[in-house]
Amino acid sequence: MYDPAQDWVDTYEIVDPEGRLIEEFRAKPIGFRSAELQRVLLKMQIDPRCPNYVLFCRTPHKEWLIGRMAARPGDPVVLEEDRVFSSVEEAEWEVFRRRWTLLTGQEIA
Amino acid sequence: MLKILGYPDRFSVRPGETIRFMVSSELGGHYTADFVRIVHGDVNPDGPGYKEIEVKGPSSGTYSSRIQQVHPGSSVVVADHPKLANLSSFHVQCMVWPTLPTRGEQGLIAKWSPDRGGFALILDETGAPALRLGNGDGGVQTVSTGTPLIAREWYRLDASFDADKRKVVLRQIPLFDHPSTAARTRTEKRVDVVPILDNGAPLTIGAWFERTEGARVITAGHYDGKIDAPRLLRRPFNDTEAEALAAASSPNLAASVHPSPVAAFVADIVAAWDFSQGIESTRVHDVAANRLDGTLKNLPTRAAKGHNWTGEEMNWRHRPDQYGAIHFHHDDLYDAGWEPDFELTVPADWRSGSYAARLTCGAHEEYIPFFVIPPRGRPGAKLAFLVPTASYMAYANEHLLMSGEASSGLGRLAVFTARDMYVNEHREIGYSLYDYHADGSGVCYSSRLRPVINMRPKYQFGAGMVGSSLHQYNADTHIIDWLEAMGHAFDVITDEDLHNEGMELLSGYRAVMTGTHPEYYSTAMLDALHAFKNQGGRLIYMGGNGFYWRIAFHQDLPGVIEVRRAEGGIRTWMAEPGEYYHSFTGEYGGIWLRQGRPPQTLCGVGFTAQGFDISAPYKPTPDSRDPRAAFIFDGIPEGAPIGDTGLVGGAAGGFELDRADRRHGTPPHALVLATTMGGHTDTFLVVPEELHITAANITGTSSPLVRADMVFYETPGGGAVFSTGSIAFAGSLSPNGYRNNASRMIDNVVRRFVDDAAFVAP
Repeated sequence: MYDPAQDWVDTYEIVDPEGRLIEEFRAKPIGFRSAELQRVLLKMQIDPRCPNYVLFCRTPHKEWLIGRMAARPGDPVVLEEDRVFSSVEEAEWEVFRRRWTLLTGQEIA
Repeated sequence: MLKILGYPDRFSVRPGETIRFMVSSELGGHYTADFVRIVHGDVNPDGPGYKEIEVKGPSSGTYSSRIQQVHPGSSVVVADHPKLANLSSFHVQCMVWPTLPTRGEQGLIAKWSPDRGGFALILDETGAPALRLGNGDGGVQTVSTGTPLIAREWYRLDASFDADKRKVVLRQIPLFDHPSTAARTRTEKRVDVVPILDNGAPLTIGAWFERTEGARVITAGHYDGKIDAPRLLRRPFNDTEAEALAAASSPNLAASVHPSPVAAFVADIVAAWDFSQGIESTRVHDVAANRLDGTLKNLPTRAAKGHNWTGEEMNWRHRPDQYGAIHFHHDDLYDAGWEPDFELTVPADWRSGSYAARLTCGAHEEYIPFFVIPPRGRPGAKLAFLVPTASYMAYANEHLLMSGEASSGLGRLAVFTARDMYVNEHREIGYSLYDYHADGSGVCYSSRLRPVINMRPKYQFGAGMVGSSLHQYNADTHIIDWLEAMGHAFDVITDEDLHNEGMELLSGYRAVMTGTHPEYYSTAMLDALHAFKNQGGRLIYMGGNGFYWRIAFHQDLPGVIEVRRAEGGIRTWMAEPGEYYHSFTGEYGGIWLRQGRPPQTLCGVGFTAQGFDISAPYKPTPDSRDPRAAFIFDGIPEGAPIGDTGLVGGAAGGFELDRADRRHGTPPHALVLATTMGGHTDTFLVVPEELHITAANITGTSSPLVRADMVFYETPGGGAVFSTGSIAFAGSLSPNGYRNNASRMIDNVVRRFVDDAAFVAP
């Protein structure tokens, strides 16, 4: 049975020729956002090409790791142990960079 | 990962009463148990820091580690009986609605012993119905229809064994009419194995028997899906007889005094279980003459639509005959059933408060929270802090952020801790009312008789706003800590006490203060608070999204609640159409707003929006200058923001927000003292029950409905209500050494509310 929902994520294309959305997120990963950045983030959250990223707080208020939810409920979260972030915002930025590259093909310096 | 876990047999205990603690430890050797009073569960270094106070308990000491297992999976167990055992030929019939038919072998109806003797009507590895026969001496034979069942479709199954002819007949009859898939099958096969039914095993429905552990029956092969009208006959029935039997309703089977299609073979009926009887109970009734009643294990979902549901009636009490199904799940769990490891008789000199048994073993620790409430009828203070334990139970072991659906609404990444990892990987400890069973059906029962991993001091919640990132139990310690720091005398009481004792529990208090998120309320709880408010009591509502969902407590079983997510509301799952009424009580389920009792009628505000990033301060409104509110703003500069800093999202208004609304019952004389309107991001969204049509203006920067309103009003009999309307508010009490506008305001309210002087309505 054909599922049209599989196609809909391609109908919105991320366009940011001057890098304003990137800079907006980099300056403030959590909080008030422009409508355009909000739309980009929503797409990142639901586009099936983006892994289901989560953060793992290894030491309260000190250390965070990036993790990915497994496809099957109950399977362990896959943690990236080799990189420790000292704030949620730093980890958010790293995930944003990855998702941006996945969806646009452009690397963020 | 967590190596030592435990739970108590009750959440609240009075001095002189005894509370038992069940523990499982993988650590070997001994662990130490002692007792602490929990003051501040938040480990955020930007706040007051973690605080616990050791208390001497008579049962502090060391105990041997042992591993205790959890055995999830629901079933019906019918004790062995000569009528079940003295069979050679037999016939079983049932209606089934499987939900995970290809998950692996699953038991439908079985009398199966550990030495592999007896019979078991199962779904085989392919999802096809099969009859397994065992002689208890190594001989096992299974006959399958070879036609897998389609998930979420009703079938009638008939399986018979003819001892004389050594013949098995299986019939699989779809009750649906999809043209390409609705194929009847009839499988007939000679077998060599003669099953031994006199095997000492109970008859089980929804699983097969595995063993006993003390008095506990351990089952295996748990089935996912509904079973309706299971019947056991003492001889094989032919097609015509089976058809007549399936068409017979339970009264025909109970007695044959009236001519009926089944009168001729009533004597052949060993048992006919009618799940539409005793829906509120844990009993399963055999309506045939032998009365081979059964008991439920691990609370499968009752009041489920049966195979004959027509849609003409939505209330199971009106047509119970159409609600004869039980929905079993392999991941149902009511009671972990562990043995007690130690107990505590609470000393008379322990003050009422929030306590925990603290278990330590090397670097490992576990806390088992409980609450000491005052002796019956003898309050120790004018103020009671009402601990929302029903809401703690609703969120117990929630997997909310482990599905993409819920986490996509955060506007940021979910943050897990080691405790969340454990909950994710150990599904056997059961689910919260926010979760789905593995088969996709919503979890409508939650109990406290199992380790509740996320109700612990120091725990952080992955969606609990930036900053402390707390929810429920730990967020409520912000209030407890503040009460201690400010020197306010208080008792603690809990939701379950309120449900059980009603207004009597409250009558000795001048004021009742809620937690940050008292969301789940039974009828008795809500009635008691309304009565208190209307008889001169004072209510301080310190949270958001309170008094929202109607729940039911079970009439017989302790420590379990039910929700039916009917109609509207923020819901991670929706109740099936036709299944909106609680099985425990028959009460209509859903949010109180949809039942004509909006939260605004109790506390002046009600749920309006939620978001999970940053909080906003409250701005005083013109009502703040009303002389009636002067005592609230005493010492606060005119026009100054309330809660412009805080541990939960950085300010006082956040997470889940409530608003005043005359249409929902906010009293006309209520003062809306302050509001957070205009301070919220676009991750804050209006709740769905307020959306009549879909529209774009539903977010924090576009909708006037996204706001927390602070409300005060006087009640009959000299009482009053003050409401913050925000889950995040309590996080704003401690900044600057508890010297800030939010703290000052609540201090003003508490002092006036415990004062005996009556409030006078305008």
